[in-house]
Amino acid sequence: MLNIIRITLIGILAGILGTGVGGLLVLFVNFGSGPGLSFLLAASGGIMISISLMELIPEAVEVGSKGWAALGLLLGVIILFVLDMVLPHTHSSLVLRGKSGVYHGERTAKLRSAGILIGLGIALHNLPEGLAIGAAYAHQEALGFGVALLIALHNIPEGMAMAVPLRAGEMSAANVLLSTGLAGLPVGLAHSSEPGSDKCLRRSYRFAWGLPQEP
Amino acid sequence: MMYVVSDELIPEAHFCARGEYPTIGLVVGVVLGILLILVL
Repeated sequence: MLNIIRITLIGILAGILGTGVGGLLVLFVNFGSGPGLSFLLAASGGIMISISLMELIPEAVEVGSKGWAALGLLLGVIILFVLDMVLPHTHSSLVLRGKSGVYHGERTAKLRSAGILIGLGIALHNLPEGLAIGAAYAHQEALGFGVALLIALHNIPEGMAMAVPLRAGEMSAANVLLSTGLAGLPVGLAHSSEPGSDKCLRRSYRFAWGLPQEP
Repeated sequence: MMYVVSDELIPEAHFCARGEYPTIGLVVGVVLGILLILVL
């Protein structure tokens, strides 16, 4: 029991530190308002595109199938499209007309909501990473620590991509750190819910590393 | 994430500064993301 708590704490620490360090790095950047902010927002988008195309979608195909991955992709777009319609916010074309600052608050709110949506995606993506840490620890202590360290490093760009729109949306430094840290929390939570039986452990391990499940 | 990128981040980047800045930022972000994924 104590071992599970200890490994869970290591998982939480790996998750929070990874995305949190990414958020911390962004806090040192001076955003300005024109070209600098434009560059950083686009770079944040670029990081998210590479993470989606090189990690999330291949993982989805490996864990399930192309059909399930395509269905998930479509469902994600539909959910965000509906949220986009339902949640009140202003698009850039409208903001252009309000250069005097009338729409400034709405624009920053839109950037914050973009950062939070990215954070939700990252948090969901972090669940299998927690299983990977738990499964690796169950196999060997040193391997578990190595996987936790790798996952923490791997989460840094994800934290950066989330923190840029939040910071551009004028969220306070403390809240940016808190939000990026929270996005990493599922790494630890996923592990803590892992059952201890060998069969479950093997299933978790195969799921986390994208291997096909045993019959 | 792709939806948020195409619907929010890129239009917002274009709003902040038109011209080459958003394009350069996007390319740098993709390259940085790929490098970080490969290295880490």
